[in-house]
Amino acid sequence: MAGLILKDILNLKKQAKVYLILVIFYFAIGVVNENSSMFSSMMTMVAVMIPITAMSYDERSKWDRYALTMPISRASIVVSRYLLGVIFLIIAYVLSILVNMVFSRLYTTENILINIASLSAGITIMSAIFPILFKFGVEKGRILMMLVLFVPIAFVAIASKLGISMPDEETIKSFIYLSPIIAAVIFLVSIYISLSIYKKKEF
Amino acid sequence: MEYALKLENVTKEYKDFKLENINIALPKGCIMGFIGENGAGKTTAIKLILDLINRDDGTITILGKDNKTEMNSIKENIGVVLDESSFPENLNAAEINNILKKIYKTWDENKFFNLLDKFSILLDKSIKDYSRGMKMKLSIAVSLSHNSKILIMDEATSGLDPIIREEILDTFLEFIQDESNSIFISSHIISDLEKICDYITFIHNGKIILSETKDDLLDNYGILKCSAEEFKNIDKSIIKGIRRNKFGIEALILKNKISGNYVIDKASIEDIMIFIIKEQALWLDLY
Amino acid sequence: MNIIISNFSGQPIYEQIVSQIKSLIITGELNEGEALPSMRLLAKELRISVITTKRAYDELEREGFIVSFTGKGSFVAGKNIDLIKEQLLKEIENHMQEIVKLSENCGMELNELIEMMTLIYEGE
Repeated sequence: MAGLILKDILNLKKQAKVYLILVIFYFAIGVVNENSSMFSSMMTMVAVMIPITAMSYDERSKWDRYALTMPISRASIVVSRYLLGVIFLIIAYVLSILVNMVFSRLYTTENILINIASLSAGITIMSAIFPILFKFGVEKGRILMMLVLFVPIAFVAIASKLGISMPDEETIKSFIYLSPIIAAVIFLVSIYISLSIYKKKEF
Repeated sequence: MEYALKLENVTKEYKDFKLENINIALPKGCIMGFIGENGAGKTTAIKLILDLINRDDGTITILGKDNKTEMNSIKENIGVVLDESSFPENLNAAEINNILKKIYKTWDENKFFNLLDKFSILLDKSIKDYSRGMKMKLSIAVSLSHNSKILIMDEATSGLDPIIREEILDTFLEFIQDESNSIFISSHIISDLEKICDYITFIHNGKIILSETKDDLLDNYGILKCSAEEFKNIDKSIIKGIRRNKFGIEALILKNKISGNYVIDKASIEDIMIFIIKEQALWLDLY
Repeated sequence: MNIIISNFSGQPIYEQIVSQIKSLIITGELNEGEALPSMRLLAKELRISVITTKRAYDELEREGFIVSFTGKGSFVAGKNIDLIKEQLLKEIENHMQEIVKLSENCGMELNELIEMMTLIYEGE
């Protein structure tokens, strides 16, 4: 497993510059606007994109097929991808908190809530997308991936059009504090699904 | 007799292709060439061996162990080369070394670097800048740098120039000096296999057509060249394939079973394959 | 020690190896007890199958020219080389007697015979 994660990190080292620029850019915006929510959510998106980009490279070079002839289990290939995502999501979360703490005026309840929500959202998105990618691959799964991201947004848009009122602030707050647990459960279910998909996969 | 690789009655069915009753036995310490035209089923057979796809029937053992239930215990000992370089393109050889160190318990860093040096592969060059030859050499270096007892290779030499192919074949011969090592290599470049193989197995349309020692093939087969008239008098049971041209007939025959004064040329493995496959096609046409 | 094989001579490769090693032993170039190259090394160097070299060595062992020990290799046997030489000379003599008989039948003179023999010998 360590070898697999090392592979992804080394392979993406070129992208590291791009990510660094993104981090600095959104950090600057956050400071200027006194609103770190953009920073939080963008970091989360970047974190989720990292394992997906890694999978895309692997798919291009047909790595999986080769890796399975090595002392690597199918399970560890699946888990290593989730692990990669989790590692960077946590880094994104920590960065967001640090950013908020450094500029104490940004350290508001609102921003804390946004941080937690971003982390949970990241985990949930990852959990929703990965089984699709394991089943169909990154190239073919791209469209499905867009749909998955699109659905919640569409849902909210339609809901507001239909005049369904948004829950009140207190409800939203409690929900957000609970969200990591919900996200964790979805995460575990997702791993389970991915493992059974990958076990049967033919290369 | 210990077998490095054994397939018994292996079958795999796809919608428009079927691998049927595949029987292959590779004794330890030998090299087997797996020959067939493109699409004959070579890659499918190799994927079945490596447990990359599921078989419908039959058994496969590698180094004496079942390739499904006991595969994990032998992966350290299987060196694999597939027909494309399978490393993510931004990595270089030094990084690959660090990664594989963590994957293979028996990874030998020194051996890897020595092989890379021998193959003139730079440590800091990214894979995406490699030529095809370099990619293959890298894969081969990897396959020899852990405790491999059997090399399983799918088209390891196609697309390479003759000089590099020679280098690689030499490396294989070096590997087989240890008599507990074996090689199973598929190719459609038969001239390579003809040089180094001990056994040759032909596959055509998903079926094994023959599997014999290279010596037997070369000693027993010959190409008879005669007129259509003379051909009528030949015992049909020794004929394995026919090619007619405007000026006579060429036939693949068991040359030790013919008597009389005929022109009989040596048959190369490639000749044998072409004649037999064409003959098979002829039979298929008749039906 | 030199072993030269031809892919096109029509004679099976293992036979070529057998006869070359035999003559090396008979002419004394390979001495009693001397180690032969391993089957695998020979196969690699000559670029032939190890099955071929094994067959050659098996035949040499069958005829008593070499002995093989697993794990140690093959060695020139202690067979009395003079005895072998004598046997071969006997065989040559027999063949010669036949040739002389045949030449008598077609009225060949001795010098014609020698000429023919010379041509054939030098053709090799």
